[in-house]
Amino acid sequence: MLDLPIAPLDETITIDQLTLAPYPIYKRLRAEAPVLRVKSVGRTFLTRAADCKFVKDTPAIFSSDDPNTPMKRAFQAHTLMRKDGPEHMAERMAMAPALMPKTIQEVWAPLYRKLADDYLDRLPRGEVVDLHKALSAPIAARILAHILGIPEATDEQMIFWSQALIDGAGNFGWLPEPFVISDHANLEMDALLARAVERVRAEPDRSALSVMVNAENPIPMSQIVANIKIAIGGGINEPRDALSTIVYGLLTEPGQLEEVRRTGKWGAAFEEGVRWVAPIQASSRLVLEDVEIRGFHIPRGDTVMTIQASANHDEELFDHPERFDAFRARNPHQAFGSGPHHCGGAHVARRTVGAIMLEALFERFPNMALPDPEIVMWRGFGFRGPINLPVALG
Amino acid sequence: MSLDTPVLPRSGLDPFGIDFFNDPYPEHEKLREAGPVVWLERYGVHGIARYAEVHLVLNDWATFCSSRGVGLQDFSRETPWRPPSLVLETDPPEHDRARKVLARVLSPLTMRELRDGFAEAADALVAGLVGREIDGIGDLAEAFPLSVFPDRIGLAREGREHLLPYAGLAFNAFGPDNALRREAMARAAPHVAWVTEQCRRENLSPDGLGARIHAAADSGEVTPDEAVLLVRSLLTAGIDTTVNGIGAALYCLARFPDQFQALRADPKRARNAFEEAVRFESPVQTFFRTTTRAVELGGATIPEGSKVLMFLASANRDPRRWDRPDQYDIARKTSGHVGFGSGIHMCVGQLVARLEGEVVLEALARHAAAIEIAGPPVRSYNNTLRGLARLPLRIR
Amino acid sequence: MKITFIAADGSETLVDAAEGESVMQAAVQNDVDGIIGECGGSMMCATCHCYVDDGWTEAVGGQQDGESDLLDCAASEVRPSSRLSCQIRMRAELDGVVIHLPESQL
Repeated sequence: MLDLPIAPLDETITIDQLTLAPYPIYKRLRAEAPVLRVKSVGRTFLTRAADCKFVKDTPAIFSSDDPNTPMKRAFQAHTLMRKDGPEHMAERMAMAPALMPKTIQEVWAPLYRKLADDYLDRLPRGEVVDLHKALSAPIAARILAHILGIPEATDEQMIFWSQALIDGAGNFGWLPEPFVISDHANLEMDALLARAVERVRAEPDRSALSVMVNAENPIPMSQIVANIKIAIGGGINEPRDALSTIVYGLLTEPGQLEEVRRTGKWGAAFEEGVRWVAPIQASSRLVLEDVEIRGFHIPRGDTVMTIQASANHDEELFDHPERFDAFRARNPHQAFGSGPHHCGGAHVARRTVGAIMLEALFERFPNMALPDPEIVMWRGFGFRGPINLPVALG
Repeated sequence: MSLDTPVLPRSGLDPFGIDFFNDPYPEHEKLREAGPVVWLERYGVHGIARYAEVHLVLNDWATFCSSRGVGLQDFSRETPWRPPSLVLETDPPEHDRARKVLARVLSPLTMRELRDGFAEAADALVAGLVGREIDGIGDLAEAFPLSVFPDRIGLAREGREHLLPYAGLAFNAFGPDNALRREAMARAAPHVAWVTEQCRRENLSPDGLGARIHAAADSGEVTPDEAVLLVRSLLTAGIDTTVNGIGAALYCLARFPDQFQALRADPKRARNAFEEAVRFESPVQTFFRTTTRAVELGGATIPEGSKVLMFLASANRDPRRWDRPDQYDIARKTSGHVGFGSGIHMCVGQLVARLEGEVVLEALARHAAAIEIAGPPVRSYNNTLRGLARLPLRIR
Repeated sequence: MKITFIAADGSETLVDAAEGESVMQAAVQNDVDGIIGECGGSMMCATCHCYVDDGWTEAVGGQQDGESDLLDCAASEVRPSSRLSCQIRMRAELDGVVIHLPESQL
């Protein structure tokens, strides 16, 4: 290992650039420097699909338990997202029954269908609506509240908590204010969860909270709470962004939209949307022992960053990756990650946003149009999506 | 841009800087003289320092709204540091529903209930200070409100040391991301945790004012979650403000001995003496509003979504409105000052403040022959509040 | 428009008022002794208490929601003609209104 070079160091890429327009940078890196230490972020970037998958599939070397991230402070807890091995598995299994296809089919999908109708009913016709705020965000919040077992939380509360946790977890500058905001969110969530726990003990249901609380050998309450919170942090912005991204993609490719409608391939449109702009663009792993990636020595103690956004555009796997194309022959994207931490909500996302909402939305508003695609703003380095989506519903 | 468009006067003033806090009055005058609206370059906001404009803005809530925050942060663009206040950071109709509850709990009828207890406590406290050298802040301006108000709210006894730091944090938070705000945020966690807990119904005494707020949830006027936030409003704005108000009154009376003698001669003037101190020192120095549309003000057009900084303290000394504004005069007709604001958001706790001020000054008028400054006062710095950290006084 | 204030001692003051202005504001702006308006018109005190002259009660109208609760705390006797003057807004029909002032407000 000692004769392998360390990855080159870049001192020019800024966080602002990555937040505003990362894709051209990732394209360049894939070609010129697929393993690159990026000073401004303090991480070794991996921009090729194979390397990202290798890291995610090898938890023995690449650990999720990074003590240097602000996540613990933000969540006031050690969540399953930052654990490895059997402990991680145990906590993951504890909530799995609420997220598995059978439960989705029996409970969440029918509920989502009803909610989709309700939320579509509320959209005003005959004017330009910001679909991102008016639909994508609230429907994501609402279904998640049910799945988690906290339906008494309002959409606004869920959305605030989610953003507060994300901002706190992403507070790598360790500024005080984002933690004050996440502290407030935690106080509110703790209070609401205390009441919800009593309720699901008395009246068990299929929700994540209920299955965890009422399990025969429950995991500690601190972990039940922590992992409900991680689901709030990770389960709203992503389906929100996914829906908005896919709608944008279809509205700017009317030929594809027509064909999707004709063939009913909403699932393919979903997969393409999350490939094209991955809602979670990058993830970190702590390197536990010296390892080689693509001829470079990655030393123990380094933190690598798998850039899913870039893996999803890897020219080795995808033709014309920068284009939204719902009819790709193959779509081996990593939007949901890979390995033991593969997104626990992937089935939910596919069977709600993909299988229900897209079709319902375009059926309800067949003449929906995007009056000015240029006005849609894309933002985000760690998480990415449109921050607005003004559509004319017709 | 046409040649007819008036160019706003500009100022490089930092209205949240220590130099300014030490002596804001010359800068206030410069702002007033520069024009009815001044562009404050440092933070990119419009400033108004004259009485007429401040009064107008306070009374046009639809154009100059509060729901986008009354500090520098625009809530439509940034996450507020805590869940917004239901009464301070809302507009009608949501505002009116919340305000109605607080106004009832802090009504003149409630003041009748509180008066005797407050007066007794003030009398006992002040009597014990006569003939001594004291810290007017620690021994009186802080001691009195802390000795009466938390009990009346029904707060637990343990942890009350969090009250003043929490309020200081909240008032610092209205300001820019400067050292004062950052330091307050860095120390916030324990204060936030305690205050948030104490607002819950189960932690409040059933015969206190906090319980009355929660009772409004029983009748469906507000939700239980909303009641919690309304109690939080009391804790945020109900103590540090009165500490600085009473401190202001003591500082005024000590600097203007003839006015203290006038008060001694007629202790019934105590209430107005306190009111005049609020005008003169303006414990709450500034607030922001955000425009909901493009608006003409003082000959300038302010675009939609602009933050407007109101210098309440400057309006309270604007010679265009006040005769001899820099004189502390307990006989002055103070009605119309903006130390408690004006319009629909005018301080909902003003009666509590006046009651506290009145009983303390009345007790002083009856017990003390003179109040003298006995050493250099030490200023307390906060992005919104004006007050002293220490005021050495001799009470004879 | 005009308002005539009659103090408890019988002395009269005639003031100008603008449409939409409250009787309390007109009094305070014209330095009329006998109206304080401590809360600035935010319905939190009873120091703008007044008695509407008999000839004007119909035009002015009766107490609004919440006034009677506050008037309970008025310093002077509350009569059927009592109103909080901050709740009486000037309009054409009230030009020339006559308002009696109580003995004290505090």
